[in-house]
Amino acid sequence: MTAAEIAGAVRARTMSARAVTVEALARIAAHDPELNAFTAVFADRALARAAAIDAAIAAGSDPGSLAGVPFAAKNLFDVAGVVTRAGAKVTRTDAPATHDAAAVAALETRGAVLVGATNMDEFAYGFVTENAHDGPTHNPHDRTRIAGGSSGGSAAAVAAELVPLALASDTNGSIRVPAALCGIFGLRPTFGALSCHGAYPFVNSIDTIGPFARTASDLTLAYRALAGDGEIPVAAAVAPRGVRLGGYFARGLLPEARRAVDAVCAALGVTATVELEHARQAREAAFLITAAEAGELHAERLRTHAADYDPATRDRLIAGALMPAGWYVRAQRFRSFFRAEVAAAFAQHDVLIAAATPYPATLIGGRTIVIDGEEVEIRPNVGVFTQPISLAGVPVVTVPVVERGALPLGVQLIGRPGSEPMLLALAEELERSGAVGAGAVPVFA
Amino acid sequence: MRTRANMGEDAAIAAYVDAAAELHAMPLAAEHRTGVISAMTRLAAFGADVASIELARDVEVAGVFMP
Repeated sequence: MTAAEIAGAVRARTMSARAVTVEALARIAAHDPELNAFTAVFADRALARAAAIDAAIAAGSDPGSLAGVPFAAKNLFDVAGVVTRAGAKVTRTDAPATHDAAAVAALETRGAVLVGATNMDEFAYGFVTENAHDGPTHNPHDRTRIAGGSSGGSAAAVAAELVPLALASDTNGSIRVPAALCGIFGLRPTFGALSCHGAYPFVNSIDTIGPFARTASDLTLAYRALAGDGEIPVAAAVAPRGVRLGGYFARGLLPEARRAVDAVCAALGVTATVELEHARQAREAAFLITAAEAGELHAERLRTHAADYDPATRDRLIAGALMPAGWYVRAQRFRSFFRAEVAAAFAQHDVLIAAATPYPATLIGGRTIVIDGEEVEIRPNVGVFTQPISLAGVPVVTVPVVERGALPLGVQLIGRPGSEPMLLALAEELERSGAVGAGAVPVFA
Repeated sequence: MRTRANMGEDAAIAAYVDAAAELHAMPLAAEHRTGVISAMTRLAAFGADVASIELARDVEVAGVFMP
């Protein structure tokens, strides 16, 4: 069932929040051992929350737009009474969180039920969710393959229908990449639009948080809850002017990723192409800012506990901590320059369209992939199309494109700052047209 | 392609990493050092490419907005 269907049934008293929660917990118990999407399940808390919702409804109250909807949260979100793991070993002796993160509280305020915390790359510094401490999350479409990262656990949990919604974070692509590889919808909102309070920071000047869902309308429902119901303007009924990103975004991707963009452009009647001339440097600037801010954040712990870090994370964090300040400042100045370049692209267009990843989910443990005859490293290149957009701080909805019998891919719908309602409406329109949509998961079909 | 020039650059980056680690009191275990130098080499290449874009003097660092 979708989140909207569950909330409708619970509000209409044709289904209890307890029954929905029990069912979600049972699905997690039955199927998560195959996926490793969850690192913790909060059964007692969830059942208590569900009971409170049922009691409120029995007393004549409306618990909200997400009444009884189970959801998961990436394990970097604070959950009161639980140590915030952030995918790491070094955090496990930290004090438990005293409050729920703002995003968790926002969903629960509208009746949703948190059922568990999900796997991720250590400190969100990765695109694969092959966590050295908690193990890899397996892609529900093919368990030998990665779910993408860093929010891979949340994406896999939604793709496998263990929960209809999940919370995640996106700095350089950590919502958009796993949404694409798991074949679901994901939203990276405008930088600063949703509170990151209570989410373990990665790169303060780029971090965002957002939702995953299996349908575009559920994604809208979750976004409205996170942003505050009633505060989101309805998208204008004017057809947005779309354009495909060319140049940098048209190179270094497999044919199936190109076909996914073709499909979305065809559905929207988009034929024009525009280039962001400095996209490559934008990705590089995001890389530099990420290394510097994350390195500084972890420098103290790295001095004493470097051996407890995931090797895939540790060396990059140390390099970032030692990086010359001039590179960081230059990258942040370039960011202003690039924002102006992106703003100029929006002078004549409302939506920029690009692949979310250059290839579908790769094998767990894979190191390289051949694209256009060139062998490239998988890990740093998964985010090659998401990182430049992160630097601009603009909102992106990733829509899933699933060819019959093939692994899913995703396409980024990129809008101006604050244009989430338009992007979400467009995703819903594309879903209704059949051009995009979450595919059935073979594992659980 | 490995050339005498970029081998010299690699050595300069390794020397920088060692010196910066000492300055920052960042212990650098032998088994971590190679990975750190590799990461710094990538950052150096990216830093050089970003710096190659000419920016006017009045281009300021991007503002950070927190909700």
